[in-house]
Amino acid sequence: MRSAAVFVFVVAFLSSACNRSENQAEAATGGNAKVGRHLIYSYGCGSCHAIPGVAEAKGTLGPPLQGFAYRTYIAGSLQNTPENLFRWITKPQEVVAGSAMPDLGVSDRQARDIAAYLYTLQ
Amino acid sequence: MIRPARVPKLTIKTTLFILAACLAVEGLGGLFFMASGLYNIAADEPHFTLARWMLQAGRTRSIQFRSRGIKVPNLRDPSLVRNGFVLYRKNCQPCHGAPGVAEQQIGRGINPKPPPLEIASNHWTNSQLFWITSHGLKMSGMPGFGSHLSETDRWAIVAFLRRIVLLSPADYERFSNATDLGIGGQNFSWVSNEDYGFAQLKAQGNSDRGRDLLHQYGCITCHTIAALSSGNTGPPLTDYAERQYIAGLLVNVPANTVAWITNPKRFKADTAMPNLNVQPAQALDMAAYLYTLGSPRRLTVLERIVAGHRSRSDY
Repeated sequence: MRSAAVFVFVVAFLSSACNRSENQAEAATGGNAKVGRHLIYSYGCGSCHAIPGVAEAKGTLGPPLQGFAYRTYIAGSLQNTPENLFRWITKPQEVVAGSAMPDLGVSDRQARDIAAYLYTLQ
Repeated sequence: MIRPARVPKLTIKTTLFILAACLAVEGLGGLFFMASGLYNIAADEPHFTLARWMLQAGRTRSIQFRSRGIKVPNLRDPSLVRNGFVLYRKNCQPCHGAPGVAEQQIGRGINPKPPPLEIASNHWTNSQLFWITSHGLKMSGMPGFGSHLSETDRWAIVAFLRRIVLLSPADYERFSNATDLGIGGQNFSWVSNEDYGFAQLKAQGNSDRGRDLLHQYGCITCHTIAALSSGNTGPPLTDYAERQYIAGLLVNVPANTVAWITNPKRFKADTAMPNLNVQPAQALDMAAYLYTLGSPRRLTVLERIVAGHRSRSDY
């Protein structure tokens, strides 16, 4: 009985260690990183940005997003916080009028998921 | 010298038989796989890497082969570029988007994704762009416009594709407003005579000095620059030569790189990038170094377009 409990604990610990960055990112954003990754693919973010782990995401129009979790600023003027990132993803033209980043009609819910994935990039 | 041993006929026969058997089994397996419906045809899932590579490589070779011998007319004609812009907005923008303008829903669902042409058109020559516009591409969402648009109109689109690579989101909006209002006369830059700083970069930019200056001014503390640094404050500048925009606002050409480095707040009042009083000559050296980062193809094509080669030569 006790060995079973230890086993369960070890498995839980290992799996949480594997997904730590994902768990942290999801806790910070309230989004789902896996859903976010698929949204990033289907919105075509990769046409303009290089994004590790997303298929075909090798764009060079905008800045590469590797290491995004550690980036200090978003769009060169917003502090990189989850709330600011939601705002930037949903309404970039409101943040920087005339930016090359277009309004894509991303919903608040989807922005949380997308942000969750971006914060797994370390 | 060792002569190869004579191979008995039987072995050749056996080898051929085994080969034929393998092919038959593979063919049957393929047929079974096709008939089973296991292959996922859904467009909202990406291709397997191998399938994507085969499609892309085959497509590129086919376009190169099929577009041989197409004669390119003069594309430096303002009225042609203007017409191309109007046609682009109507026929291309819905799927490809434009500087600062998102593609519509219909373009977003296509697999492979219709690429932003501000960069993608640099990969093709004038005649190749004309061929793609005319015939479209199988196994992609790209339709052929040969049956709907006249030859002149299709060349107009190509002429505009040579212009779009140098347009900022603000330029594109200006063009849109102008054509909506029916303006677009003499003093409108449908064909640009600007130099964009290419000549000066070539004549005076020193990339070795530039690299040292990037250290001295502390650029590397905020930016990741390829082999030099790993700063996280600003965007990484690795592959800078391939990047289309500076700060999301300016087209990445030498003159704009220099202008941005010397006074970033002029373009974006609240930018985190400080004004470090870099002198223009120093910024030019920095630019010379930054343009060594990444593949030089984008910059090479832009330089040729700016140099006016686009009129006749078919790069």
